[in-house]
Formats: sequence, structure tokens, C-alpha cells
Amino acid sequence: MTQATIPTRVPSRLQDLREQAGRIPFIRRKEFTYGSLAGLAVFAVLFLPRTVPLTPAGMAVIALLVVGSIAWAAIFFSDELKPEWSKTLTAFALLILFGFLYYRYSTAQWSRMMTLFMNMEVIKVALPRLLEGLVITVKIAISSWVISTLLGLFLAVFRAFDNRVLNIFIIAYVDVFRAIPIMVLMVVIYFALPYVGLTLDAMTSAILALGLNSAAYVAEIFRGGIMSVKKGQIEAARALGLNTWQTMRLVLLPQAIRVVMPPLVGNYVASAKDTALASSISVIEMMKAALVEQAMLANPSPLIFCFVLYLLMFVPLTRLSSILEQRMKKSQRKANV
Amino acid sequence: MSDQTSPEIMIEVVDLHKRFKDLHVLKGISTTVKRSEVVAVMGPSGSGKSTFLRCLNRLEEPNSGHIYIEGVDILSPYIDINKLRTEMGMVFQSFNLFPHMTCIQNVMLAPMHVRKISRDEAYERGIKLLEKVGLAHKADAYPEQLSGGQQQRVAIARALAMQPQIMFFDEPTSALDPEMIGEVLDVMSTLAREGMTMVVVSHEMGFIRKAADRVLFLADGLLVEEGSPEEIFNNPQHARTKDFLSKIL
Amino acid sequence: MPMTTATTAKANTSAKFMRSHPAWMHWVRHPYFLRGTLVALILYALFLLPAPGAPAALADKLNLGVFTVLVLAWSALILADGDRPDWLQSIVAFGLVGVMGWLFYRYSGAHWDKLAAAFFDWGRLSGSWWLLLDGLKVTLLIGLISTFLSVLIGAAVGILRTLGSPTLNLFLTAYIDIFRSIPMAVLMVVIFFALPYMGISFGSIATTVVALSIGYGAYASESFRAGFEAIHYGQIEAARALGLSRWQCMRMIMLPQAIPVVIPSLTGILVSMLKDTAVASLVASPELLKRARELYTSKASPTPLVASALIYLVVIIPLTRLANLLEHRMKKVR
Ligand SMILES: Nc1ncnc2c1ncn2[C@@H]1O[C@H](COP(=O)(O)OP(=O)(O)OP(=O)(O)O)[C@@H](O)[C@H]1O
Ligand SMILES: [Mg+2]
Repeated sequence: MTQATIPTRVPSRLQDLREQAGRIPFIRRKEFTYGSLAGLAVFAVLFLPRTVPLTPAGMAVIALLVVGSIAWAAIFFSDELKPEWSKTLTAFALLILFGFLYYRYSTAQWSRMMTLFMNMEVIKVALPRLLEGLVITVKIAISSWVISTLLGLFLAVFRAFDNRVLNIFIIAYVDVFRAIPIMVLMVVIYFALPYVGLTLDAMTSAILALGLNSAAYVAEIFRGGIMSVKKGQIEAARALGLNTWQTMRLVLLPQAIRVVMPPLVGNYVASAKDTALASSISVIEMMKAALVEQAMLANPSPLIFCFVLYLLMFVPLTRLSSILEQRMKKSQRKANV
Repeated sequence: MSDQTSPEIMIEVVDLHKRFKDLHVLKGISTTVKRSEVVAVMGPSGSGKSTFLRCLNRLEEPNSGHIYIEGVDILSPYIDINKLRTEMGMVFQSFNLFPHMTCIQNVMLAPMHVRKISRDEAYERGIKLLEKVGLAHKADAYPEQLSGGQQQRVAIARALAMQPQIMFFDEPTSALDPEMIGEVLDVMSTLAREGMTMVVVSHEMGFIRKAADRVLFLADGLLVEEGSPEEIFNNPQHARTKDFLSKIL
Repeated sequence: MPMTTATTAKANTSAKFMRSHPAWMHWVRHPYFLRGTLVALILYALFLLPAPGAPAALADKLNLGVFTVLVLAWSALILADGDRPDWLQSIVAFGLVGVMGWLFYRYSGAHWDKLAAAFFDWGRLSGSWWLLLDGLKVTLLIGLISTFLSVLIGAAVGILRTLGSPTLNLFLTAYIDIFRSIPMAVLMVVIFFALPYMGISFGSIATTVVALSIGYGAYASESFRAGFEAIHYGQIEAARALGLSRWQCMRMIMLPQAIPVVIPSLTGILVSMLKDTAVASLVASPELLKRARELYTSKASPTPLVASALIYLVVIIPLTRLANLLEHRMKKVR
């Protein structure tokens, strides 16, 4: 044994512990929680401005109130011992408070809110155009999916041959088309190419730009899938007497697809979202249609409606892709253990 | 009432219950641990040994029951659990060293940031502890550069650095190769001899026979049997205990 | 004797043996087949391909398609065969790229003679470069500010999610789902054109920054979540057992372990962010693409558009490479 003093021989800290019993951190105590809440309430009642066009002082009061209540809620939320229902209550109370502050003090014309943002008549007038736009959006999306899948698969397969010369060209393609913003690509294809005699209509340009861009990503995704299969797997399959095609079909592809699926779906979602960029080259897809309608009818309802439609289309898809991703991570974790 | 218990009693557990949703894991455990006592907890897999241990420092919140440490009810809402945990060191089956810190940093972390002692003092204390577990020369190595047994000894040093009154061990040797088990058990035996209060989940019969004062046998969330190692090993009373011992002996 | 049999058996399965004994080979790898088809392809190219210029008739299009597929298939046969010598594969690769280029040159219908004059008419840009550079400055400014803000948002949301409160998570998940689902263009347009009716109006650059920060904040928070998930739960338990508070545990144990995991994907976010600044031209932010389009109109030449594309490449390719490098390095470390 070394003569190092032994940590267990320190005097009993019983006293300490007893004293600590009353000494949970200040901000965690009931007194603080309720005291500061009351303080905030009193502050709000006393100082909140009564008139609507806000003075700088009034703005400061509101800012203080917002910061204070967020801080209070943060302290409350970070306490793991508080029951969940009280946190739920806090969250909703906070929402209601902010809603109220906004309602009371923004200069929005509340009486006209409905007619402005969810004006059913305006939407009814705009609807046929919006739906036409939706059809075009879907067409562009699906066409670009097809192009990018085929081109990407082709690039990935030729990349897998791992020939130095080919690699240079394929890497260059991938790098360039991942680096150019889609919108720039669209603009160049639509506005610049006609100068050298290649005239494409707006929709074809959009599809081509999206397809070329997303093919670069698809190529990388497929390559990742092919590389993710361990060499030992192929050797094991060959050792069992499977031929090349059987190895491919029974061992390689099933494993690669599991790796490829989540990012591939993510990529499809991304390029479907990017169809909105086609509006920059005057393709009347859904967003452009909404913009045109809102300008013509002088009412933002079509835009809001289009926003909601996009959410309805893409929230499920985004969910799907993150579920796939999560599932893959889990199975990988299992495989690692 | 518990405030009147003798200072000799370090831990007092009264009717401890723990449920995970529908699963009733601890079904009313009561026991006491005296100062400087070394208590071994045994039982079949899934019997709730880890859960019991983790309730004692509130890594799991018990559903009902009482736990008194030196007479203080640690389940009271007026307890600052972080301060409480500094009184109880814990050593895990899977070491859980922090991979982004060297050994000495691992050992110094809690004293500096929880006890707020100075860096120099923490360093001095850390080196002494690493010496104690025989790893002072590895102070600046990262955990991944150490063997399992060495990692576990650093983990023990890390727990001791807070100068805890009690040490909990949850199967500290079951993730180790046989030849490394000895070095970890040696450190634990030394601690026991020095008078540390210890609660150890382990199935190392040799260690328990040598170092433990008492054995608790858990099965299905109940404290089936308790007694000295000799009593339990040589003359088990309960069928579950007999069955279990016959399997591991 | 068994020794010799073993060695012969080994020799018999070697690639060399198989090549010198064609009967053992699959017919598509047979040298006679490959040579024959190569000659056939050359004859096809010489005599059967349509006249130069964009193919109009369906037959011509089909003709070209068939030829392309045949060329690809033939070179794949050589390239996929691991036993072929490197030099042969490289020649085939060059040949493949050359034939593809030649096909595009001959049949795209482009006026190649006009290319330089139209796309690289630098003379016409003289005196207007500063406009493009101004645009680049705005692009970089928007990109950096929004990256900073979105990382802040992402870190905050990621940390809040580790609190594990179902209510809080409900709101945070709603935020993440909505802003990951909405196209950036739509977000910008709605903020720019619809929100003013609600009494909230931003200038065009502010709109861009707000939209990019909020939108990419959602992505960044996903990166942070992945970073936190990569931490073994035992780490957190050990930290708590030592008496570290939640916040100390976050600061000293979780963040240091999460950040190396998060950094590469944050670089990726910076890259996407810079690219998405181009979308800001929809709301009239004076960034690079917007400037290029203005010049395109005023100079009646596509050179500014091509120039802007090149500028994007020069700025973004190194960043993409950096992101890849970081990711690679991180994978190696783990
Ligand atoms: N966080 C949890 N959520 C749900 N169930 C849990 C959780 N932790 C433990 N359990 C369950 O509680 C029971 C007791 O687990 P515990 O880890 O205490 O067993 P143990 O006696 O330590 O077993 P072992 O010897 O295998 O470590 C098991 O059935 C386990 O599945
Ligand atoms: Mg256990």
C-alpha cells in the first residue's frame, strides 16, 4: 500500500448532509417558483401598456415580460422532479401568453384577419389555377425522380468499377452538380443554353436541372450502399458456392437497399420540394400559381393555402424518411453490438 | 423516527417499491446497512439487483418506500440529489469512463466542478487515488488506451475522488476477462479493509466469502434471504437460493 | 502426389488459366466475343448512325439510344472484370468518355462555334464585375449569418429535446417537421408576401436570413439530436452518479462528445445554406444570382449567368470537400 491518505477516513459529513437537506438550489425552491411567477404577473398587470401604438417604453416592458416568462419556463422545464402535467400546463400557458401579447399589441387588422388569410371566396377563385399548378409540380417531381434514379444508378455502377480514369469524370460530375445551386442551374439551362442553339421549354429545363442535380446525390447514395456491404459478406457468399449473380441478388442487394432506402427517400423528398424553384423560370407550378393569384386578387389567402398544401404533402414524406432513417440506425446499432 | 437511529446505521431501506410501467421489479425491499459494512447482493438475472442499487442513489426514482442515508430521507423533495450523490460513489459494469478525457481528467472532473475544489488540489487527490489503484503511470492516457481491468480501476478512483461515504458496485467485474478480475477485486478488498461502506452486486464467490459481511439474496424483486456469506453459501434456507447457488457453484 | 494435385487445382482456377482455356469462361467474357462485338460497334458507328444534328425522327432517336446502350454494356463488361489489366481498363474508360462526348457533340444540336462568343464573352462584363462581386458578398453574408443563427437554434432545440419532456417534444417536433417539410422558396415567399398583411414585415435580406435560419435550424437540430444519440447512456448515468447536475452533465460530458459528431453535418448545412441563398432572388435579395440575372438582361448576354455559376463552383466545391473530409475523419476516429 502507498501511504496515500484514504478518502474514507474523512470525518462524517452527517452534519453537512443534514444542512444540505434544506439547501436545494435557490431556483429550484417552491418559494422562488411561485414568488417569481407572482412577480411576473404583478409586473404584467402594472406595467403592460394600455394603448396600442407602442411607445419604446411599452416595447421594453413587453420584451422584459417575454424574456422573463421564457426564463421562468426554462427553469421550470429543466427541473426533472416536476411532474409532467405541470410542464404541459406551463407550455400551454406560455403559448397563450404569447398569443395574447401578439393579439393585443401587433398592429394587425384583426377584424380583417379571416378575410385576409383564409378568405374562402378568394381561394375558391384561385383553386383551379392552384390545382393546375399542383399537377405541374407533381409532373416535374416524378420526371426528375426518374431521371435522377437512372442517371445516378448508372454513375454509381460505373464508379463501383473503380477505374481511375472513369472516377475522375464521375467525381467531377458529382462535385459540380452538387455545388451548383439548382436555381442557378435552371437559369443557365433556360436562359443561357438557347444562345448555343439548345432551346428547351421552361418545364423541361426545370426537370433537367432537378434531375441532373439530384442524380449527383443519388450516385453518392448508391455508392454508399454498395460500399457499406463488407467484403467478408461477399467472400462468405462465394465460399458457400453462390455465383456472382446470386451473391448480388441474395447477399449484396438486400443489405445495400437497407442502407440506401432512407437517404434515397430523403433525396426524393428534397427534390420534390425543390420543384418550387421552377417558378424562377416562369413555370407555373403551385407556388408560382399562388403568387400570381395573390397578386391578381390582392389577397394572401392563395399563398397561405399553398403553404398548407405543401405541409399536407411533405410532412408525411418527411416523417417517413426520418422513420426509415431511425430504423436503419437502430438495426446498425444492433449489428455493431 | 429515523432521525433517532443509531449513527452506526448508514443506509436504511424501508419497503421499497419500483415499477417500470406494468413491470413490478422491486416488491417491497427492507434492509439496513451499517457503517463500514460490506454487503453483497446476489440473485438471478432480472431479479432487480441493479434496479435496487440504482434506487439507492436515485438514478431510478422509487415508486414508494423510504431510503434513509445516515438518517436523512433522501426521497424528500428538499434534498438536492446532486449533493447527495457526492456521498455515494458508483461503479458500473461497463466502466462508463468519459472517452474525451484522460484518466486524471476523469478523476478530477467531479471534485472540481461539484465540490469546487481547486485544480491543483483535485490533481493531487486524483494522482493519489490513481496510485492507490496502481495506475498513476496511466494518468495521461485516454480510456480507450487501457485494458478493461485498468479502465474499471480508474472508474473506482473516479468514484473515490468525491470522498464518498458509501460505494456502490454493480457487477464491476462481469465485463472483464478472467485475468483482469483479480486486480479489480484486490482494489475492492483493500477498500473494504479500510472500512468503506460498500454495497456490491457480484457473483464472485471468493471475493464475497473474503470481504463481505453479509449477503442479500434477491429473487423476483423480493429479498428472499440474508445472512453472512457462510450461512448463505453453506446452509441456504430458501429453495430459490439453493437452486441459484447450485447453478453458479 | 496429393501435393501436386493441390497445386494443379489451384492453377486451374486462376484467371490466367481460365483466359487461356476459353472453354472454362462464361461466353460474355470470351475474348473472341469481346473482339467481335467491338468490331461490330465500330462498324455500327461508321455506317449506321444517323446524320449529325439533333435527331428528329423517332427511328433516329431509337438508333442513338441502342448504340449508347451497346457501348455502355460493352465497356461495362471490360471494366467490371477485375482480372483485366489496368491499362486496358483505362483505355476503355477513355474510349467510353470519348464516345459519349462525341455523341453529345454530334447529336445535341448545339452550335458549338457560338459557344465561346456567347458564354465566355468576358469583354462584355468589363466594368460590371463589381456588381457580381457585390452579389457574392451579399450571398456570403447571408450564408454566414444564417448559418450562425441556425446552429444556435439547432443547438437550443437539440438540448431542449434531451430534457425528454413529452409536451416540450411535441412542440419541438412540430417545429422540426414543419420547417423540414416546407420548401425554402415557399417559406421565403410566404414571409415576404403574406406576413406583411399580419403586421410583420421584413426587408428582402432580412426575409432571407429569417427563412434560412428557421428552416435550417430544424435541420441543425436533427444533427444535434444525432450527436446526442450517439452518446452511450452509461456516460450520462456515470456523470449523474458523480453528482454532476443536468446542465453540468450537458456541458462537460454530452456536448464535448456530441460536437465532433455534429461538426461535419454542420459544415454540410453551411454548404446547403450558401446554395439556398440563390433562392433569395425570388424575394429580390441583391445576391449573386439576382445580380447575374440583372446583368443578363441589361447586357443581353448569357455570360453573367455562366460567370455566376462558376463563382458558385469556386466557393462551394472546396467547402463540400471540407465537409467530406471532416466526415471521413470523424468516421475514422470512432
Ligand atoms: N429502464 C427500464 N425500463 C423498463 N424495464 C426495466 C428498466 N430497467 C430494468 N428493467 C427491468 O427490470 C427488471 C430488473 O432489472 P435489473 O437490471 O434490476 O436486473 P438485474 O437483477 O440487475 O439483472 P442482471 O443480473 O441481468 O443485471 C428486468 O426485468 C428489466 O427488464
Ligand atoms: Mg444488473
